[in-house]
Amino acid sequence: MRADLSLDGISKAFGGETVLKDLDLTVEEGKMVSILGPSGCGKSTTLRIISGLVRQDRGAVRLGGKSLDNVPPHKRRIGFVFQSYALFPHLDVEENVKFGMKVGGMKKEHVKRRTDELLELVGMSDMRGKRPSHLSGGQKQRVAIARALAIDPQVLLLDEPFGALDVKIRRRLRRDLKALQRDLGLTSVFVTHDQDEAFELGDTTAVMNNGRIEQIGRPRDLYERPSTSFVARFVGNVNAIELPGGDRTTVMVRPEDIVMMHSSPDRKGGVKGTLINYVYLGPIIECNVRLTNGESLNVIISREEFRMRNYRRGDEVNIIIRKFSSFSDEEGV
Amino acid sequence: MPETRSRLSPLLKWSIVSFGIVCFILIIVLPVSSMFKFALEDGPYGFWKAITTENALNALKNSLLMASLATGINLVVGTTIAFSLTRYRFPGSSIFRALIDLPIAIPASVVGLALMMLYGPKGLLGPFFESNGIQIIFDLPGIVLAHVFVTFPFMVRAVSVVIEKFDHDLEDAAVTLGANGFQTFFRVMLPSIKSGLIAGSALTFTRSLGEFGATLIVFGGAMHLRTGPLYMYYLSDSAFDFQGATSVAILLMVVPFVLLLTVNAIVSRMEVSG
Repeated sequence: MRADLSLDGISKAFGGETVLKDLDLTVEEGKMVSILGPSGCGKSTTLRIISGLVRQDRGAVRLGGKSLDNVPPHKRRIGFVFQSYALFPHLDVEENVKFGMKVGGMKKEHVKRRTDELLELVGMSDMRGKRPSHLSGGQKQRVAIARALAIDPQVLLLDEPFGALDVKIRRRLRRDLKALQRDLGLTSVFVTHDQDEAFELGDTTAVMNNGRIEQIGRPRDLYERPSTSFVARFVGNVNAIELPGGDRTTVMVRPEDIVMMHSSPDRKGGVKGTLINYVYLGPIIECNVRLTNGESLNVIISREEFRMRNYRRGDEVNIIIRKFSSFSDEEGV
Repeated sequence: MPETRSRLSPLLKWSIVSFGIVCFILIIVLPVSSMFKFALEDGPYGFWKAITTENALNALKNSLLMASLATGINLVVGTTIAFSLTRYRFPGSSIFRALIDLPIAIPASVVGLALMMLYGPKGLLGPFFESNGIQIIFDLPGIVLAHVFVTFPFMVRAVSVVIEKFDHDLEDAAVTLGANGFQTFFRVMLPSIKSGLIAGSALTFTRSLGEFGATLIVFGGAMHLRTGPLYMYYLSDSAFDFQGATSVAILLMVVPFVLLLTVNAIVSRMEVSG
């Protein structure tokens, strides 16, 4: 059996407040699953349960089919990269990386060789004598990753590792981390509230809300075939329209799935509206249209189309919805 | 609020400053410096002779001994209490927390009396210990207990401050890296709270060097255990040897002062490099 990581029916409450409800998740060996969700959805708690730092109330964590529940956290060999990096401030870069191997009682020569390899791997060999307080955010992250890898982890967990970094550095570190994970074949779980990060890093992405996983799949599945209204709302932009009538059904329309034209007397079909405003976003233009029933819609069109049709604020337009998904209310929220 | 300050007239400003300085001189500087006149009555050699008599050296030795023992005991007791107060909630922990500072408020002589009432010849436990051949009051254990009593809030406070600042992720990180409880404590927690332990030790040590009231009661004339402050009191009050008393006094003043300055420098350097 491969060393897949699986969470089966995990539940957890803190002081009467339910954080995780019957959560299931499988990470295939060598793959990275990203957990995407708003803050407070329980994604960090999920990582802490996998690592054993927090004990679940119900359910089981298994690795290669074997339960980890009776394995104390310091014996699980699960690497953890914290959002704050949690580098030991009294130790320099090299000693931070060595920590896990030293407490594990590894031979000196092995520790030395492995430390050199890891520092090389994350590009921090020149910084080996520096204390964490003298490192930038990106450098700290690299050290934290090297330190977690030093214990030769069975699983690597990363809790918002880019949260504290500049946007520019983030992109590069994201690529580096993905390459590293793929090259080493690390079974990993990565937690974030940033959709781009989740999509770029994860082989699959699990969208989490209110202590549950709402949907798990590839980015395209999540975007084009959301299975709940939360996923539709949280992944990408969406227009939520409540249909008239008693069935309280919500229709979700992506802004790019709307066709917009200038209205003219001979044009039949579609819905009439007014172009209230538009925002120039480079390759695309985001338009805000108010329909005659007062409903407001975001419509995205290409730069070429916008120029060709020569739109102005206040133009009367005609709208056709090409594609939508609908959710009855109890399914959503 | 520099604006407000700059609006005060220069006259008023200088009046305030000079009043402050005059008060400081009258209250602190004058009494302290007048001691030097007496201590140096017979020149530096007289001062040296006064602090190197057999009695003086014995008193100095005792003071350092008591301070070391009190610091050592408090490193264990005070740190344990600091941990239990900052890290754990237990029934009555808030009451415990409120009572911690009590030794600062209790007059030292009261502490001495309290120890006497427990361990003294007529105290609650004294006869029991005595019948087993253990002398507490009028002996080393009693004096050390008095010193621990009056100093332990300093250790608890200093250590609590650094424990509260401690980042719990560091502990979690150590555990995920394979460290057991002991390794986590000794390799991660202890180095992180080192500055608090040093600061607490320095405060305990200096406070202990100056302890007088409680020691006076529990030492009960056991001359071989007489500490510096007691010896100074004896010289001035019974022997009327003011030259000797002031010489010892200056020593009792300078040693803790230098010690505190050194430790503060060490701690602030540790915090910078931390």
